[in-house]
Amino acid sequence: MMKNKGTKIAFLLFAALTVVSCTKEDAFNYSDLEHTAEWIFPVAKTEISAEQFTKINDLRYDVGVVTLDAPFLTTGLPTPPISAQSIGPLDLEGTDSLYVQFKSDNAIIKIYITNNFPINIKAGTVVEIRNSVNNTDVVFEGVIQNDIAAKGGMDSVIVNKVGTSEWVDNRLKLYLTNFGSDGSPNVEDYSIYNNIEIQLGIEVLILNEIELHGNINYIVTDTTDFDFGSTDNVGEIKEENIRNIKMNVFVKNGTPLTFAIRGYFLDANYAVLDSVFNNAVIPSALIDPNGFAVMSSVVEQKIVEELNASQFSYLKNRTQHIYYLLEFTSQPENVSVVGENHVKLEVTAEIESKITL
Amino acid sequence: MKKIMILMLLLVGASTVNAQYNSLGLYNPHFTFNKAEFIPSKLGVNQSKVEFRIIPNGYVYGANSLLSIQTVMYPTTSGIDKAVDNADGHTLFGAGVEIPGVAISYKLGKTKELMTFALTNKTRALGNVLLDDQLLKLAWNGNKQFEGETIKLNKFGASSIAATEIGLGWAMPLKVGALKMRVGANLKYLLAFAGGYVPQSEVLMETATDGRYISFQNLNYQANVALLDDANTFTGNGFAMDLSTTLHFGKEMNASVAVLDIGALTFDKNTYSYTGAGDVNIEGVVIDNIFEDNTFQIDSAILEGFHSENDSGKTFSMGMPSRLVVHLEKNILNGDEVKHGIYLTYIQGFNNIAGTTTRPYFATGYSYSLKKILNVGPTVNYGGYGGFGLGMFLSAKVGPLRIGAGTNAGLSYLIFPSVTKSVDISFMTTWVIGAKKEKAEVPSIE
Repeated sequence: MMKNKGTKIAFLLFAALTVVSCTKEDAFNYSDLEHTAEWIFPVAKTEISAEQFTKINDLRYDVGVVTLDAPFLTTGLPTPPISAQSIGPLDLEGTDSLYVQFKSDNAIIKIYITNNFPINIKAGTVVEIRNSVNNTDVVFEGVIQNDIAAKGGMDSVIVNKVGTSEWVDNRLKLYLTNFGSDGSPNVEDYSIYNNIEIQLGIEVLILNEIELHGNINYIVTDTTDFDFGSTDNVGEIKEENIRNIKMNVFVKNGTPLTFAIRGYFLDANYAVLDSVFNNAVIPSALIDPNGFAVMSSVVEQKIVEELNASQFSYLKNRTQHIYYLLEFTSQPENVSVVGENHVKLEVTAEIESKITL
Repeated sequence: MKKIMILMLLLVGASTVNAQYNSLGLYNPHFTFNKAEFIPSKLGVNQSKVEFRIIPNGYVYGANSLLSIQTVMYPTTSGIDKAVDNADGHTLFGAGVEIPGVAISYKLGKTKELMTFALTNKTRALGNVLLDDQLLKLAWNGNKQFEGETIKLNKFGASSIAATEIGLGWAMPLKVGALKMRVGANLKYLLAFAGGYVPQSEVLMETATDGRYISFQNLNYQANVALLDDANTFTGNGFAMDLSTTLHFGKEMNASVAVLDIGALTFDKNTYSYTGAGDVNIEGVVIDNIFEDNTFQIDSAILEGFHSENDSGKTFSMGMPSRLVVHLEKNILNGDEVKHGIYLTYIQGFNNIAGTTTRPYFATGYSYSLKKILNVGPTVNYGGYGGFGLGMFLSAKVGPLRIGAGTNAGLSYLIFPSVTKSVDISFMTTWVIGAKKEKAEVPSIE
């Protein structure tokens, strides 16, 4: 009897074992698990150079050289050949008023010319950029290499000026010297064809030094497309799984300027959806009596911005954009910026996300 | 990435149906083939002239050293949190299916066994993952916990094998002086359907304060896989060998030592290799000019640091799950039949290839035979992938057919569901012919 009883118990145990995993309906339910993991990782780092934040890297001027500035041209008569004439000075009014003067170690001067005169412009004509405040030195110049045809002919002159330049002041004037033309045997109406269009760009690649006005207030800005993670690489990051996302911005302001940061999320049509970093202020470095930043005083500052789920979705959505701006201000006295002055930015992210299996 | 990793780990654990080694056959006198899988010298120790297996057997197991089966089946965040927090050392996940197929053995000798030969087949699909606990904690909790620290992510490895094998087994009794013993061997030719091998590697990971950078030092990894191929049934092949000897101390006591699966598989079809080495420092997207770079992708910046060289069609080899088996057996006879059996088994893997682990495995079992018709007994085991396990087996003889089933950890799951970390189930059959002719020769070496 005992043996039979033992055998029965063994059979019952075994039967129970084989069916046990089938008796509960909610086994292997991982979908309801809620677990939060915390990740911290670098997002981006960059340096905004002295050339960039002083906007000296992109000086642009549009100049119209009108007939009146070329008195050697006469309406109603054939135009004889012209040589060694001068046109100008023409004020480069588009000059940014941020700076008083600057010196560059490497700059590119780009001159685009559209000749609307009824006469051609001969190769060898010189485009000169001169100071006008403390002196009239030629600071940049370019020589037209090819004849530019009349009535719409176009050409460009690009000059890479390497080496420390003279002080370039903020009231520049443009001259065309050694102006030459084959003239025209026809009677031309200079009231119609009366100008030369010149687009001038000065791009300072390496700044030596720039003196900025006191009490200036200007904005450096750009728009970018930002992609936090694609489905191809890391899998879909769902907004509803984000418990918390924190952006840490580490800023080292090595300039004599104070600035504030703002960021905007824009939709596909560049309409503002939301904003972040609401004018977080980054003070300047200490400034010495000559207006230079004291580099040893530069300290890193940390700005923490917690994003909500909507803001995270803006980051994630590749059809949207981020518009950011840095608003620079200076002390009442003039300040000076040298090439080694820059703004260093590093962004890291901390994400608390729900893990779903 | 992390999600895939966690899914992989947990599903490997979750797919468990019961423990790592099918030691049940060792403890059940009905199944000689299964004994011989662990101790080749035990081939032919029963009374049969001919034994064969035509119904495929099965052994399915799943085990891990991290989560209890209760937690795997009915997961809770707190349960997994607790297991991950308490993880210490390295974590193993293993699962497998073994299907011993057709087999036949024949004993030479009219009244006394001269030797026994066998031709066997077995198909295996095995997989395992070895994870350093720091890596596990990283995957589960994220890297914020390691902010400002450098951690060692050593001991990561994974392997999988899906192969069928044809084995030629041999065993014979020997007498050296007064010592009675058996020796046996099994030579196996393996045909692999698929396989994967990520050799164990180590790396240092630093998460800088505030996440300013994440660096990986001494990164040195490789992964080789051979995938199921529509054009070829088999993607690789190899040879392996089992050797053992059994010493008999009287009729009722014996001890065996075996080394199993000494060999390797070589894959040369539909293979893919991924290798990477060096130091990686991730600093996010480095923007040279914030006013010109208008689009940047964070994940690409991270992944680009991990330069991986991919190759396909490259031949690679992986070892078999080689292991040492030490087995003690005490039989209490009632006439010519084994009435009671007490067994102790120690298995030590030489590597962490799927199917074995360097973590030692101990098992003990007891068998009770009711007139050789019904065998039943409990087993207790500890170690290997899953730690503690309590199981039982049961088999019956119906004419020449022996049929049985068992588990190494099923009972512990029923009794200690929050502790047991493995599940398995075993199904065994064999057909025995000609037992009566050698009835007087039990055990046959006598």
